[in-house]
Amino acid sequence: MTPMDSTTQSDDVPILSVEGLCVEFPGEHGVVRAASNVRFSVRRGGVLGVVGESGCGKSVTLRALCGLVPAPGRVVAGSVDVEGVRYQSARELAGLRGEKLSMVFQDPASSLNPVHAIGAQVSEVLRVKLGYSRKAARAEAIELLDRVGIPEPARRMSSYPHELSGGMRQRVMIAMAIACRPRVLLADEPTTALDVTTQEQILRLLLRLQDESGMAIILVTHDLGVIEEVCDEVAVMYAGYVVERGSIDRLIGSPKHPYTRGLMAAMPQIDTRSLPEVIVGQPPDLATLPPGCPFAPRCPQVREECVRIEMDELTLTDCACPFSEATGDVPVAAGIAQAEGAGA
Amino acid sequence: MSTAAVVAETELAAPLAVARTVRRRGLGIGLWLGISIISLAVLATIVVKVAGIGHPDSVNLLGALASPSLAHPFGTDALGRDVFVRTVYATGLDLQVGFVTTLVPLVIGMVLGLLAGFFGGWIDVIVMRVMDGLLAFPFIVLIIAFVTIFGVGLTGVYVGLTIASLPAFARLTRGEMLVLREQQFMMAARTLGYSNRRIIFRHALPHLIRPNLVYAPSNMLGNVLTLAALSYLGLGAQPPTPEWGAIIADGQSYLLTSWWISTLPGLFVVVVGIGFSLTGEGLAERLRARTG
Repeated sequence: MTPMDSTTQSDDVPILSVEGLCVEFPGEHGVVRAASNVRFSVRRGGVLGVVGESGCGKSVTLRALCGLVPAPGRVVAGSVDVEGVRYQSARELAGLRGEKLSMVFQDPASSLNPVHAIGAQVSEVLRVKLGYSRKAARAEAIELLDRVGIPEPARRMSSYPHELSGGMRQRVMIAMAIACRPRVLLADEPTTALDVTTQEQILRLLLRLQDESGMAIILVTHDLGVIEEVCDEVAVMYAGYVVERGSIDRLIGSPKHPYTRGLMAAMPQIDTRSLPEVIVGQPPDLATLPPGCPFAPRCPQVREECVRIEMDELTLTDCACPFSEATGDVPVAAGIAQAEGAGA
Repeated sequence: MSTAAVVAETELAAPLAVARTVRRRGLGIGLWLGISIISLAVLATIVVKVAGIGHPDSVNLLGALASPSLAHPFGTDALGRDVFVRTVYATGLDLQVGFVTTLVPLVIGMVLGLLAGFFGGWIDVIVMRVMDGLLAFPFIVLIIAFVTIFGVGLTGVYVGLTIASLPAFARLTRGEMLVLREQQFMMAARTLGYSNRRIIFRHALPHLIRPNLVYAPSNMLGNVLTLAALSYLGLGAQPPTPEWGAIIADGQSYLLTSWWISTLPGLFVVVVGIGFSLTGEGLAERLRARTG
């Protein structure tokens, strides 16, 4: 009973939480905020999905977590707590790479170094980060390749990345990422570049590894189908803000923010003959964000007050739309007309 | 027996694959020709030196200004020295200078370019502005400046050619590094928590050696010709040291009566030069065939 209790308790405490993270890029027309006051957390063994359109700040947020915001961008505010320890500067966060956090990338074709054999690349992680001997690293590397489902791992050790298929390369990348038994695995659209059947296999693999090791996964994607399948919590991002967050069941069942609703409605359904609805307009240019809610110009339920709301305060709550409870009755057509008016 | 046949087949597979690749891509006649010419020149030097066929400084005034014959393929000069032996001895010196003044700047230039390209920022600014500064001097003037500092002779030429060759390697490496830095596997290496040193030297360096090796033969050729030019002007190797430019300069005053003293060594230099050009060109083509 006591061990049970302690596990449940440790499961509820977030293993990683992000607080008020802001990432800025100095640009020609002023500062661009790629991530604004981002706040989310993931608990031990949990899978957090981060969704949003292209350019909404998903990848930048993920990179900021391991101190790798591409120059000239920088983290201007916020902190990251991992296992109860607070990390603030890029330098502190860089120290997390490998043992605490590691990352899997979108394009497996280019995330392995083409000049080294895969066995050497997997062993290198073990030797450099965990101080394994050459021999022990090799044995462990074969073990890792086996765990990620590479057939005949001992023979594959001497293969070069170009000799493997996309799915196999992604498996090798995952093997390298989990080699140091990270607490949190950051996955930046790990299945986007793969075909659908391989996507499924890679997702299954990630879930199985998570089950075995108890690590948490933060999965960035724009594929709601993937989110629905593997995540238990979701953060929806728009224009650098987390506009809504919550459990997957809540978000699928009753999305609150108009943007989340739009995303849900835009998902193609197999069982109905109706076409998916589109969200009118384009995501805003981060350099020239409208005042107030950044989604207002495209929002079907936009009101006059929307341009005056304080996003930084609203992102502290689970839904960044203050009118989300009382929106259902606004006619969609009117909303679009207003949206076009606001855009012009 | 059938097992043995299978084993034999798999063992044969690798060389066969190589042969097939060579056939498909063509032999690269130019590359082989270039390498052959250079090898021949080097071989001739070694043979003549080791076998002790003639001595570059042995004077025979009675046989002075003899036209080319079997005994003296390039004839003899005003002091009766065998021009062929002198030319071959000179090959050793010229290639050595060319090699050293290419290898040293290749290594130093690559390291500078790697650091500038990887870190960017003020390291990049300082390194590249110094390189630009070196480039701003006309090549030959820069080297003559070093010859002036170190005195007439080979020391100044070595130092001058080395420093004058640095910017090309540094710029080439930096440019490639800037491209490489954006590759996802470089980002992946960083997320794995590798040190910068490891990322630069183990993950980036192997990608940057090839373009530098492709450029190296042309740099070497340029340096050899510059050495010859300096010696011709009397600033490089000093008499009686056999050196291409010096030999050609020696024969200059006899050009109308004993044409071979300048002409034949000159042609020899041209042929070796073509060898280097073909090698460089061939290597570049290989690289393109691989990447494109």
